[in-house]
Amino acid sequence: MRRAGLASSVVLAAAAATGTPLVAQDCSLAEPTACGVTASVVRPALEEMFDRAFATGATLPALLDLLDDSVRIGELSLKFKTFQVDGSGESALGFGYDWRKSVSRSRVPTESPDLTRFDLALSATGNVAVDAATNPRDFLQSKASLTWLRSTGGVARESTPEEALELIGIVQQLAQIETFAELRTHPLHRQALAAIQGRLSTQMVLSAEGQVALESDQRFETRQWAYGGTFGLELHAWNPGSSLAQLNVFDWPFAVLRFLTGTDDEIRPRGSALPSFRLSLHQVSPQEHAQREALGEEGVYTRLSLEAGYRTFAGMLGSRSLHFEANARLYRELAASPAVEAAGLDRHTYVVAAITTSDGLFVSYSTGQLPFDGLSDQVYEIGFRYAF
Amino acid sequence: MSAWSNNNAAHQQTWYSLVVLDQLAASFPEAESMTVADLTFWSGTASDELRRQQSVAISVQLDNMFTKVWKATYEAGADRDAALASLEGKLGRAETTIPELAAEADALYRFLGEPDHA
Repeated sequence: MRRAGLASSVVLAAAAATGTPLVAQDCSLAEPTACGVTASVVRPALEEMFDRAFATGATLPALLDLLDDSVRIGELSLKFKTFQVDGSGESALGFGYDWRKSVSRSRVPTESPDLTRFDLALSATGNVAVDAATNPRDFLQSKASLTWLRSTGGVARESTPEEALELIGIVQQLAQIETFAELRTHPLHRQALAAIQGRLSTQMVLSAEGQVALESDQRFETRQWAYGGTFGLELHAWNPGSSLAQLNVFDWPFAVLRFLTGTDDEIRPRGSALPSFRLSLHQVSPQEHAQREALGEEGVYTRLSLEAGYRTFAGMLGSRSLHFEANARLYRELAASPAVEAAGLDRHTYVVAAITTSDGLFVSYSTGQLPFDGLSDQVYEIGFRYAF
Repeated sequence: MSAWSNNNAAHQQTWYSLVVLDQLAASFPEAESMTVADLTFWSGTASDELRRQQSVAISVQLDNMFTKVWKATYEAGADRDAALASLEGKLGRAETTIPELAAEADALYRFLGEPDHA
């Protein structure tokens, strides 16, 4: 079976055509008419989308290939996307790509759960719209990197062979249970969960990465080289009894939500869901940057950037699982000139939040801009994922 | 690749490891139709680099679960480097199904409970 993202573009186009606020409605692909998605609405919306795409030179086979949710060619991943720019009533058709190749990797040998390794890699990521002028996230990056990574913790005490065999016997029984609702209240599940989680500890993953990157818009009309480094931090308090898990303020609202919806029997914040961070410092050398050239600011500058991401399980709604996620990215030029500050080129902020369900419905809201994005737009993405 | 089976030790232990790590809220039968994109760590709003960072952390912890909790050993020809590289590859792709992830684990590890495990 293959997943297809075709329905996402259909629903989004229909929403654009009718002005229907899908966010507020309980839509499902089983009953799309409940949110005004009828054939009489969808057909003209699709025709308009394809007319616009063809007008920009896209071929039908290329469009059909892009309608797959994700296409993988070796180390290259392509994903079909649609973007709607708030206030314009337009939908931008396009795709995202992600490619990474590890050239060389070495690890420091150890028998402990800890891990230390070095990794030399090449990568390329970005979002491309059929109509470049409507790409709300017009930012491509290609880079070479050398990464040091250290993971500590994760397991505080290994199972004995006898303990492992006992757990295996329990899991063999639990695997026969049909639904998660039955599973989570089963006494054997609670026994196994307590036994395993009690042996786990907090895992911390630190990384330091040296990079050389080429950043550009999709037409390469604006581009720049960036040299520098990135520090990454992952933290997971896998043992729910740990202080870090219990003091996880980020998950407290969702712990309450899980309790109120009956997903959890008690208010229990999850240490498994803690924010992730990446902090970068780069020397940026603009090659073609019309805005900076107009200000006479074509020299090298120092850029600080920070990304924070978070996702947690928010509960069950009937048979649907609900997740909340958020991401924030900040870019700041250090010691920017008054001209650059006045033009607003010294800082970019991008924030997005989303609620997703297991049956494919998602609602997201984003605001702000990435570097090179000349507009600060609020972007809604609304849609479904459907498996054929 | 063997079909998703609740009698397969690798499938059972991969599924339950993801449940224990709060990555999956699904029974074994329900997990068959799910993918990496359904796991708690996978965020569609994160950058590709952040998501890769997160998948590496989950891969390391899954390897810890398999070898330290379930007492699995590496199959002949596999070691921790190969296992982590494979798990990161699978967990780094939204479209990887849970059965595919479990099948990869089955190929890399010799789990207790498998017929020929010593």
